[in-house]
Amino acid sequence: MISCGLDLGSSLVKGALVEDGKKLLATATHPVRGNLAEGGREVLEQMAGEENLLPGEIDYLCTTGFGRYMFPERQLQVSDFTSSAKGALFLYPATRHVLDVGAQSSRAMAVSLTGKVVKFKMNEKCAAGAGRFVERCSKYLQVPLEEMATRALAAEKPRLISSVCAVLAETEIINNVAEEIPLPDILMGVYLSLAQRAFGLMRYVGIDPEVTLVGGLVHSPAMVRAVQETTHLKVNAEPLGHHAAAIGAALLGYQRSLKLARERAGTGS
Amino acid sequence: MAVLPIHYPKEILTALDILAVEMWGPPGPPRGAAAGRIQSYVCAVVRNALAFLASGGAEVVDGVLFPHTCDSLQGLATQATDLGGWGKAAFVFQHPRGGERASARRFALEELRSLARELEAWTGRSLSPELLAAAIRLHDEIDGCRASLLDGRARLPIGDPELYALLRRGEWLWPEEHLAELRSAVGRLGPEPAQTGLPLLVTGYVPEPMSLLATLNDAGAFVAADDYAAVGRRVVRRNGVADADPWADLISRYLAHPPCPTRGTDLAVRMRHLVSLAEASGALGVLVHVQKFCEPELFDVPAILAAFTARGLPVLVLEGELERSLSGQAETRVEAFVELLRARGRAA
Amino acid sequence: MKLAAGIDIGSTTAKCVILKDSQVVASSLNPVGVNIVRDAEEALRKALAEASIDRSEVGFVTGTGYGRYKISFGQLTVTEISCHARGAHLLFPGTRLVIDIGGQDTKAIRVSERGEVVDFAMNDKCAAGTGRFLDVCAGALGFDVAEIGPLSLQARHPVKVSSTCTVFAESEVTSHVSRGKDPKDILAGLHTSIANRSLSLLQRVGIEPEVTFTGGVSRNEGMVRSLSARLGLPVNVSPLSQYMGAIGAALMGEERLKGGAAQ
Repeated sequence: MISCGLDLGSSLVKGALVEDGKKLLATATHPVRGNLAEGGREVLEQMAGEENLLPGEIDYLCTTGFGRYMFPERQLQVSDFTSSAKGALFLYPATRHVLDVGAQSSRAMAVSLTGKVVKFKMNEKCAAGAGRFVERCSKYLQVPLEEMATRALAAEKPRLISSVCAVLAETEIINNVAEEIPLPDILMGVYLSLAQRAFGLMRYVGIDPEVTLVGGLVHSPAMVRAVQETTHLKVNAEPLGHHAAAIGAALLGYQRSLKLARERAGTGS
Repeated sequence: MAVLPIHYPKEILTALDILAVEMWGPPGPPRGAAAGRIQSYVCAVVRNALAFLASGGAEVVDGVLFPHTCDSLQGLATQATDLGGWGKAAFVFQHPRGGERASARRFALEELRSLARELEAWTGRSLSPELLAAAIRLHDEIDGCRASLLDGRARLPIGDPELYALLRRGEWLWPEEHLAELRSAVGRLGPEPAQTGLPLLVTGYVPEPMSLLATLNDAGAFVAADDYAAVGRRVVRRNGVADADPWADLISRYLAHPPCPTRGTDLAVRMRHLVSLAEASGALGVLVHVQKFCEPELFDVPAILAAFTARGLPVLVLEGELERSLSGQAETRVEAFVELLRARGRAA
Repeated sequence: MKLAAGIDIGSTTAKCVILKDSQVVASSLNPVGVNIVRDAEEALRKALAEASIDRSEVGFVTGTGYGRYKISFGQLTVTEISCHARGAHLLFPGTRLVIDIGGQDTKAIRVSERGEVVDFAMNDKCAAGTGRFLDVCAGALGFDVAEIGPLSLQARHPVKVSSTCTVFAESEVTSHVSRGKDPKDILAGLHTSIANRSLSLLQRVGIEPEVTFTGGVSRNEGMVRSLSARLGLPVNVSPLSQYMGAIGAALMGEERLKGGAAQ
């Protein structure tokens, strides 16, 4: 049986195809341009094409992410908390702690053995703890966003940022530039500051020897290093972590379809 | 032996020839996996101590003593021994709650005797009544000097950073060495006031960062009355031995400490004490210098604010987290507070 | 008697005022860069040049503001809190409460009838509620910060801005624009947001008339209106409001020149 998970985000749609709740068949990503549902269909076709599947051969479709209600063909929708926890556990079965630093918000989640979120702490009120901080820095430092992380990696003596506000930090960062602090050191300071905020959230839910990163931050080697250096924990970060929510949605969709099948069998007998 | 920096029976350690070194951990935000074992809403003293122990800080000591003064320290005592590779002796003891009561004396006596037995077994030394009595005399003498310096603060011709560096060396020096330094400082007490700044009452856990004191002095104020838990509240003022039996005397000495929320003092008793400290020193303002999430201190802050505001003494509450240095904003707050007090002085 | 100069080095601008018999005879304003000492000297030089005063006529220089320690050529440094109180009291003797909204912090100061600080509260950790919030959001709307005040007064259906964080408010502004909201209505919402933040700071020290509004943001009449509406009280503003810190600093220097504190 093949289940599909679609993670409909504000800028990207991520998808995952899973067979029998065990095997990850394919993943795909598509930028959102205008219509979310269109982006979702695009991702679906891309994955189906890769696996030579007809759309009808996908048995169950579950959506997640902020646009989860905007995909009419869905059979189920789950919140991205539930789905990313489930997906993280699929990728790293020893995971008990999941960290997601997104553009608008960040959150730390403690996860049970079965992938249920048992405790979480979230920041969505302050940009200093979110990816938006990096985006702003990229603008006023005139470093392309794609290059921020790789250039930060060259840091030798990262310059920490004392301000707790993303806007007030700008003045501090501009002063650092004026003081001729090397750019990589300044950039790494930005990532470390984000990681410190994230660590604050993590401590609220309780620390575990390893933490699994999910969401777009897995593509940022500087963020991964910053989390590593700040927490001194084993940090699981692989590109598939970006699709954790989609994978989790596919798994949850599979579970739901099994349950439905059992119920049908139950009423039939 | 490393000790968490709050009230503990130093007399017993001295009598057994154990050097107490108080552990504040490195200042700054705690890092490392161990820092995460404790929630972010626990005070920096405990978080730093845990991070410090976990990062090998315990290697330079033979054992650690955890006084149970608050839930956070108590929690630390259970967690610290859990750390991987921890092979050091760990000791705990409980403070009696409340003031002079027969039950409190009994409880304290049992706690201290049992701690002493553990320490005897650990060191292989024996604690005779004579050794204990001598240690009590030594600490009475140290406290006598510290009390002279604090009570005669205005007549001491040195700045606060220098005075506190001296007082706080007691956190890690052998008591005899500390006493010698204190005695020579007492010799510098003059007959006339030597401080021209505005007198303040300062209360809180610990004067960290120490640069706060320099900022205060530069702004034209000084600590005239000290109620820091780690400094003034550990100074016993008493005239000679109260009990012939050294154990009973140890308890009497313990109960003679100034009121402190970590020892469960009644709030009304503490407020009377603070008010009398302010009156005796002629303090013109009150600086409440608390550490973030330090619950015993924080619970009393509203009462302190209310009591001194009612008496017309301005209060500044400054919250810190054992930072390396005072932030520019905090400096501005302190300076503006001193300016406010000076303006009031002129108006009066 | 010689003249007294006050220099206020803020986060974005350096202001200098020269006082003669407690009257402002010259003032200057210039942006601050990395070299604060030079900016402070420049502020003094410009003020002197404006009124053709010779440097030797100035008998006392007082520094204030976050860069006060850098004014090495001065005789005294005082915090901006005391200076705003004294300055506001000089211009509006009935002042009992000062709200100072600057480039990156906001202060509420309760003042005695002698112009001295009784109590104060500060927001200096977050750009929300400060001049920076307006700068950033005005930028998102494509306006210069100088024009947003009058425009906000033309609003007919003010929009609610719910984000506290400046960065998120900026996005919120963009999304309001994309949904076709009138920029004037959005501006009104931004002003209300700052007024709300200010009100909670003022409540911490106690609200008592008269209220004097100082700092760079006080030049914004939309902000004056919305603060006054939120407080339910009239608000004193002077064309010199932005110079209030420098005026207070110079005033304290003048007192020293007169020989000690004015009793």
